Amino acid sequence: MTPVIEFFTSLGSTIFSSLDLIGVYVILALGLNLINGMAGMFSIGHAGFWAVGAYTAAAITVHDPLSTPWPVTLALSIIAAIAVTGIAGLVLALPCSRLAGDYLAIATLGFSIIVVSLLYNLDFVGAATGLSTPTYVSKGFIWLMVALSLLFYYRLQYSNLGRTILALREDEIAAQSIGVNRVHLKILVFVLGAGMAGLAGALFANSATYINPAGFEFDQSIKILTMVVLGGLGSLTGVVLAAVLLTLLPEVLRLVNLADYQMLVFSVLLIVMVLVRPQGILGRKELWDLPLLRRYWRPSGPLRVALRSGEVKS
Amino acid sequence: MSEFLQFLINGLAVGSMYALIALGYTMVYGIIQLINFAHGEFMMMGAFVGAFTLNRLQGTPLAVALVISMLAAGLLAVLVELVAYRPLRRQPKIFVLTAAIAVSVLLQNLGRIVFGSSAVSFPAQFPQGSIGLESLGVWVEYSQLFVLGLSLVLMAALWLIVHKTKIGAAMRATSQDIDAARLMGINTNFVISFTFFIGASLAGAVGVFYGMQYSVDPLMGVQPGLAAFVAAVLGGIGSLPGAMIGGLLIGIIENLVAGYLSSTYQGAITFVLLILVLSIKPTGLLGRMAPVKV
Repeated sequence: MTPVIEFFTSLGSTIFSSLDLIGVYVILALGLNLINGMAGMFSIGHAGFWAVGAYTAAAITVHDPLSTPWPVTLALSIIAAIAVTGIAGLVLALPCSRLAGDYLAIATLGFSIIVVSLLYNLDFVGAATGLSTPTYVSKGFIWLMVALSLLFYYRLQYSNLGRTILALREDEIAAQSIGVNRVHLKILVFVLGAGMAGLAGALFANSATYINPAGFEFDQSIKILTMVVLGGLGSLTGVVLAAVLLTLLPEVLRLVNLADYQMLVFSVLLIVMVLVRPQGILGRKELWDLPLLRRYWRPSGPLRVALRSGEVKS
Repeated sequence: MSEFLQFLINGLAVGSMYALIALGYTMVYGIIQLINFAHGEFMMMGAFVGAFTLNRLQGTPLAVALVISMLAAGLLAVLVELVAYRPLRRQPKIFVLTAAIAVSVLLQNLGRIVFGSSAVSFPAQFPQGSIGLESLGVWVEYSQLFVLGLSLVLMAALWLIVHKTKIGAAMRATSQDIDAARLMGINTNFVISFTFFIGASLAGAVGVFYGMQYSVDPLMGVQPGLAAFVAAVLGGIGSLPGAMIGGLLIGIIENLVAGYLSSTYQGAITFVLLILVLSIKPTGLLGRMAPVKV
């Protein structure tokens, strides 16, 4: 019995100590879900945006160019991270927005590779050795930001804009024929998703003691992509659940000494999900579809009816 | 001038390998409109199979090892298509792209677990040495001549298959219109498998060439795979001559950049090029615009 109990106590403490990382990944997965799930584009370089955000924030908190008191520095670093990452998303989206999904995938992959290779060579952010960063944010603050991100995503999903994005995903030609500006909308979604990755980066840089380029390699993009696919492209509840589970997965693998196999597990999971249950663990179900909650919590609207009746396929 | 010529020659040698890999991308894209992200990993597997054949079975002629590598890479590709891509053919594209990326990561990690993450040295098989062209001041290594020559032979063989055989005609028909091809009695599933086989066996051959010049490790397919993809896009994805020209161009440009600027940003330059091509002429040099069917 004791080894079992030991396993669960160490699992419990692992979960607690991973809470900040879980929060970061939830925000990352939400951002990618905005791009891949809600808008139906295909980005596979999300870790690149994350890295831009984290390094922007770290550069500000470490070098502290304006010598402000720390809460101001923290606020500045978060705002700057979101802004810079959003601009990076804009710069990448401008040439790519007219392209079909597969080209966008390669462009985002290329972007993330360029970002990481630059970070390995930039001396003022520590090059390959990375940066030691001050830990200004607590788990509570991270989860406050998670809550805000969730609210943002939720409100967006059922807003006029969100429905326009969904319409574009379902049928580009039909959406364009009723006046949806495809290019503008795709650029906007891309910038929003990148901005969320920037926020996640700032939170990560301000909660971890240390960041280095190796932490933002392509493997990370695959992890975030697996969260979005496992959660179901487009289901808010599913993605949050998947982000929590898959952040813990490497930690659990480490507990049972299988850490070397984590990318193997992620890739197999990705293939199996796509083949067996492409709609994700929850499909289009959301938390507020639970019988208990449905009565009191209904994000109303015509689109919802269409989605539930299964007329709209992804 | 001689410096420039030297970069040009080195670029041609690397570029011919990129061209062979790019042919696989472009053939698969031409037939099922899929970017096969796992293509670079077929090259890696070919390199490992070649290295192991030569290491374990001492005295195997290089030609035999090359054929074994090509067969192994080709069969692996057929298997991957059968298991991971075929069931998703009627699904939205995002799913099959996801599967392709996942297969790529899976093969890298399988390679790491099966072969170990340290680099395996390839038993040297190329005759060492080089030819000096004194008047121009450039050196051509035997290995470069060898790679260039074999690449040309393989490309010629591919051209013959695609243009002079029955299966080649079936491939061209399938890439024009898969449904019409099926109605004409072509076994399109077989044609797709065959396309994967041919494309990946070319990549497997490159794995052997690459392994002989550098070394063999589980991540070796990533960089040439990406460069070759950019080459395929530059040449116009779906076009065979385009892939060849694109491959040679990318090889030359990479070498010029590494020679005159810095080798650190070699990979980044490839992608800057990709973005430029996509913004200026998304169909590439020789590609055609596919009309969107409503």
